[in-house]
Amino acid sequence: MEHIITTQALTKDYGSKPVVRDLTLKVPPGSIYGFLGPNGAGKSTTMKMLLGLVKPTAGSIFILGKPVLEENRLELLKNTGSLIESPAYYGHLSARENLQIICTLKNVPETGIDSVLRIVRLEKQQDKKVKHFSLGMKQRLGLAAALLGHPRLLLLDEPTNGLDPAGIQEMRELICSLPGKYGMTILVSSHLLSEIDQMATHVGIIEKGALIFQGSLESLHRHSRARIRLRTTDNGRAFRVLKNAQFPVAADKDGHGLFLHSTEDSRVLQCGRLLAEQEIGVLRLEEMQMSLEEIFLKLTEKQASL
Amino acid sequence: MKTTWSQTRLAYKAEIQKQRCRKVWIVPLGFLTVLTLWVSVPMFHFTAQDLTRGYQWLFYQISLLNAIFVPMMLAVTASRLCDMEIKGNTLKLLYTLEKNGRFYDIKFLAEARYLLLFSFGEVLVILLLGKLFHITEPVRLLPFGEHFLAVSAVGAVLLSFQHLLSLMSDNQILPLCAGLAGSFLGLFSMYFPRAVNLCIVWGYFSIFSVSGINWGQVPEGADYNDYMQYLDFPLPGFLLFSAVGILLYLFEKGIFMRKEV
Repeated sequence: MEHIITTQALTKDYGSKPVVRDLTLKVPPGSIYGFLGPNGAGKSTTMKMLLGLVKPTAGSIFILGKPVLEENRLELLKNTGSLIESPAYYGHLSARENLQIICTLKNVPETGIDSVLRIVRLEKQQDKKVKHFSLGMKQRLGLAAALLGHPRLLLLDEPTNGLDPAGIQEMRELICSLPGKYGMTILVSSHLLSEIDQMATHVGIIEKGALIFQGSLESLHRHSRARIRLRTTDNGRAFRVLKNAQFPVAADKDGHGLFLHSTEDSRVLQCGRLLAEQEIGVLRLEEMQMSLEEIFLKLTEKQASL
Repeated sequence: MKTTWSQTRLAYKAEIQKQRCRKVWIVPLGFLTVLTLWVSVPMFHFTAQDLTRGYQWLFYQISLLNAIFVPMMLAVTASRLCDMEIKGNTLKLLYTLEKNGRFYDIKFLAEARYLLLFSFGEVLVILLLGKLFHITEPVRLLPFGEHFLAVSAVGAVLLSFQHLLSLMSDNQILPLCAGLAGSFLGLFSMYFPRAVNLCIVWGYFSIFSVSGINWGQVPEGADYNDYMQYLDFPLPGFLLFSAVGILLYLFEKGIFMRKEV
């Protein structure tokens, strides 16, 4: 099986408003797939469609190589754990009792409860009523519930939402450890690029319901090509001279310099010589790297499919 | 078929597990206690004549009181059992583990248990009061059975309405107010002409009452209790009511199933 999750032209409209448009997701097995996008981009709706909680307007979904239909949805979801938006729990019951309910519904033995409580580090609070839990503890309980029955696939929608920095760190470490230890594939959504950058092996970026980037985190990083920023005594003339000489050059938006989209030593040397021949003085020469943040903003601004 | 049955059994087991520490049985028991106290007070002044028609009187009074108590009791019960799902945001997790239609049915069954406890409790209360106050009227099993059936059936139709409201409302004030409004509507419907009375589902406790008074025969100033009698159980009407109740339940379930979480 090439991909654990595949969607084909997945679309969801609410009335005349499109929320998800022609989405083609490909989640490789064993990956942590970061599903990234600003708030309201359609991440939660997509995840709900994957779980059958929301009916797609068009398109198809394949999980573990099988098409998801109403008849086989629950059968396929037996191999799936999920944590969608805020955690689901029964506040009047203890953590253990909450997990017992999930065991009953999943029809898996309760012997797995101790193990998942240990994974999410809630063994000591297992008999405490969940209504007295902090949000972070509730999120961890939600993750424990998702882990019951050793699913092959985990769908986590903004699992660090509302957590304090320590809780975020803890949840991140937990998520990162799961594929290695238990062979799971994880689809995790977030609107925070830094979070995905620290967790994911693969990334899908969604904006206004459309997927604008999909690939490995490495390939996303490759978009952050280094470039040279130049400041000269006459930026306008320098731009024209370099452009005429076929240099990959662009003017700085603020007009205080220009960018040379190459960091090859020979190109930089040629560029310096050419400017000197034209009696244009070089005042500054600095190497610049595009941050992931900038790539993300550039992608989401453009809304163009790469 | 076997899988469906096994999944239903598991869903029901999970529903029972959810009710731990919830003490929902206090609700029907509490209402039953108030109802018992309410009807037993006048019984302290019963004459020998009154005791000869004691069970008829109890059936009649309890049917009237049911119009007030049962809608409220059902509103509280449904709200108590559905609120845990709303507050805990559990539907989006549960629907990945069970079908939403099955969840709706099982939850309804779990609530209906308390209705049956109440209906059965009422029958026991009538028998118990009969013994305590030495009612001389002979015990006839048929009216007891009919009373149990009537309270359970009317209660189930009302419960289906409360069930939907409680599951669809983020705030349980609305279903509780609906239950309270239903209580008053049911009570006042008895003063309306029969055609209007038939249109108000909360008033059906009196329509299916096993005993009643033929008000047309009661002379002015006479004790209406002297004109109390057992009524023929309106079986065709009851079956029609039950059939409409089932259709109503399916319609309500359809509304719930269309809701996306």
